Amino acid sequence: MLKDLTSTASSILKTANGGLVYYDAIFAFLEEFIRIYGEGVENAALATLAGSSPSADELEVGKMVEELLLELLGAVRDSLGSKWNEPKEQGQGQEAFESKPHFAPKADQMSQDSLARVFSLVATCMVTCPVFLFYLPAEAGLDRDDDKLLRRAIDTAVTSLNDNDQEITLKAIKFLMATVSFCRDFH
Amino acid sequence: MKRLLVGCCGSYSFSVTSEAAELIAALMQSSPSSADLEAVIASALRQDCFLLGEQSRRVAIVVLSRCAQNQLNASDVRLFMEDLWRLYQVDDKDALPYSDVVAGFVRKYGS
Repeated sequence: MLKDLTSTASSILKTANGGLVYYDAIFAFLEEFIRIYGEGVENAALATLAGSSPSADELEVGKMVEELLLELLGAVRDSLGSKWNEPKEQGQGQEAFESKPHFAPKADQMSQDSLARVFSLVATCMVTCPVFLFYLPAEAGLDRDDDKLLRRAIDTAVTSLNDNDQEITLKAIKFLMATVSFCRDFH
Repeated sequence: MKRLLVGCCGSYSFSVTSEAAELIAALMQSSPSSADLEAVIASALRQDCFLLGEQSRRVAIVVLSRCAQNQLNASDVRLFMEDLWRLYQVDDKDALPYSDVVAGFVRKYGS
């Protein structure tokens, strides 16, 4: 049934044609899916990392989540801003935290909704399945060791701390807070 | 860190300020070098967005530095930032450094 659900979500994405209401629905579905099944996904990621055999079911659920998440991000990619879409090798090497803050121009509605939703989604991943999140590539087909989704999310969240849209800023802060909490607990 | 502190100087809404304060406290308490943090705090509070005058700036640096040294907790930082936010909720920001409310803020956090 989970396979059918994610397959249906994927079909909706393919036919969404830029419709905000469809993307919004898939974001909500995926976030809830991760809340419910994230522990199993994380178990599979940890087992893979440890070199042991993960449960076949948990591994399959992890693959479904990864495919749908990357497909969703691909669908809204153009609305996530230049920082998100900046390939790793084009970065200036400057610490994202210490670059000069300036207030970003107001984005269109899709940008606002999508970016806030992405931060909420990755925050849920950070709480529920951080190791799984750590190993996700920024886009389908990219080297997962070289260009990580997490790096783009953190860089974009930092840039969004001075966004004119307070909802984006709030979601960015919550994502960064989840990341800091994880790092603190990990140590 | 600088971006968060700049945002807390009047551009964030109250709810965002509260969340930002929690993140600032968490970052400070997680950082290995309090000396580096204090330099970042001082630099952030020298930005044009800090409109409360030199005494308030010194008080803010001391308060945030105490957090970096784990002498204050997240709740203390949140209350401080929320008080800071309230100071910016005036129409005449030019008069802020000389105002009674800022003087009260300096007395409250400077002791």
